Amino acid sequence: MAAAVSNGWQFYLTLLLVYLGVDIIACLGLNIQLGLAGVMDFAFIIFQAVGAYVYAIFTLGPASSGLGQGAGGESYLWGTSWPFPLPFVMAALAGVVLAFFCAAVVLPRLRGDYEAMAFLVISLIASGIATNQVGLVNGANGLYGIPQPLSSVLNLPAVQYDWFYVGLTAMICVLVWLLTRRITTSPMGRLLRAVRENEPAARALGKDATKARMFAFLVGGGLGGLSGAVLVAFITAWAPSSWGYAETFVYITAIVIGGFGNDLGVLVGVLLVPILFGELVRFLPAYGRSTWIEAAQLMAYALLTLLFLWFRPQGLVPERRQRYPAGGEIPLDPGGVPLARRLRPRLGSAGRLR
Amino acid sequence: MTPDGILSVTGVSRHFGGVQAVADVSFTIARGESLGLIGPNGAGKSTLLSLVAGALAPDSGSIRFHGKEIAGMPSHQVGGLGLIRTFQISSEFPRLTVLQNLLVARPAQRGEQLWGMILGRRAWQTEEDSAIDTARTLLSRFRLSGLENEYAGKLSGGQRRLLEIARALMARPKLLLLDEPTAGVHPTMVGELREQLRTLRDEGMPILMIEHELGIVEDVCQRVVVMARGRVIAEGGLAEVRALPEVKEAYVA
Repeated sequence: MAAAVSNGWQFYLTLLLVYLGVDIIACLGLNIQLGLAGVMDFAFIIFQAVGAYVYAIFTLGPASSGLGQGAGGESYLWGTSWPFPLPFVMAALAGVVLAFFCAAVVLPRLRGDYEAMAFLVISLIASGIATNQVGLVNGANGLYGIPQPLSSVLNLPAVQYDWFYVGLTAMICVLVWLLTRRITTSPMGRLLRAVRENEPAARALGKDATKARMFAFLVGGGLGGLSGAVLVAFITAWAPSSWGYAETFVYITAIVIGGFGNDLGVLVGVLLVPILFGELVRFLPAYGRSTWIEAAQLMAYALLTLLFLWFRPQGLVPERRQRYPAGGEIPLDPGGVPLARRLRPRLGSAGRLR
Repeated sequence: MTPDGILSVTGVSRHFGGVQAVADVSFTIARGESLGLIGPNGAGKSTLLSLVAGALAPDSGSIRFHGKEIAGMPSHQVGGLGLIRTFQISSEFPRLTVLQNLLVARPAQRGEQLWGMILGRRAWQTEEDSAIDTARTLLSRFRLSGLENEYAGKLSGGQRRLLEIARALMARPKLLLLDEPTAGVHPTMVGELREQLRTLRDEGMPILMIEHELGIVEDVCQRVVVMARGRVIAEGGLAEVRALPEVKEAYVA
């Protein structure tokens, strides 16, 4: 009996840790789009969704018998089963491709509030298509029985496999972290911040702001897709109800609270918002309708976002001020002798800095 | 007009709705020359500057920079050719530090390319170090050295102007387009700006400048073009142009 209880806790703990990993991957991606480049991506969750579906389709095997009937009676498009790392790669690529199409529609023309609206609408359209085109990804019922990576090879008991998967998630998180740091600490990261701060000025200096924004958006989309694959490979089921447009706002809340444009802040935000805060709500006493908890959660996220934007728009861990080590001798030149020589981008008021 | 001008604007027009903001404007900037663009408010000076800088596309006409047609070219490409503008409203990157504002401006950085990012610091650190040196030299020249790590958004109006010009120089301009560099600057700071602009002139940096402070125009520019209601109404030395009755009339009207 004691062992069964402890198993239950282990299932819960592993699930929580995988969620943590998934949210970290997703929020690092969203932060590149939103915090760094200032792209108001209110559709981020669709990249996670497409990643999850693509992972499913690349592992479930061919949809048998004519009109795409899978083994479990699910109907979906095509389907195959590729070996372990490839479905994850395909999921990330799918995120990039979807991001490209969204960006092509939105980025060249729209900015700020309009950009946000367009992405919100894209999120709703995507959900509508996935729900109503049943032949695509089994409509509202979604896909289930999605194979877990290497489970048949390892042949472990469930709890042990879960811990193995936590390790795999952690490894992917580390890789994503390294990639993200490469981008945010590079001159490209600086250019993205400049574009966020004042796009016309960046253009006037000869910088292709559209290309930079596009780059940030594609990277974010790819990480979103990867996060979806990591999630669905663990929970083995995926349906439109898993990725309502409101899920994007959970991630935005995490970034706002953690710290816009700061990778470390994103980690803090993920720990506090979807994990700690989200899970605490789960332990509230059951009261009235069962959907109450979920609704209260979303309301609490909204309230948190508002409070932070109002009182601490830079988040708990603000974007770091980068200092550069002093070089050799700095020439003092008092005589001027000739030498051969705004989501805060929009969310806060531009004048308030710290 | 000098045939081998670095910038030649020919018959350029642009309208907004029913307003003809710029009408059939032509002028040339010769090699090593700086030109002042003056005229009353609403004359179309800023629109003209935006047309040259690629922020707006002209309805008709031709703009040639070192012989290359740039009319209608997107602004980042125009900037890439070495035509660097500043803005009427100061346009620093507020939440980048003063030094970072300059570093962004360095043209063609490896660390902004995909391969450079993937390879990491090894690919771009040397280039970055030299950019930091150049930026610090510029900052000391513009007396902003002490503010290196300050957020640009925290600078005073005059300091922002200086920073914007320093940033423009960091982009290795072949022609500087300055849109009212002293607008909204405290009088004590105007003297500093004026001195810096004079130094630029002495170094032979070609400048196209919109400025209401005629003393500064006189200091910096060999020639001026006077605009009113979208058209060029006079051209020549400042003193000679100021005496013309049509110029006096334009300023009164």
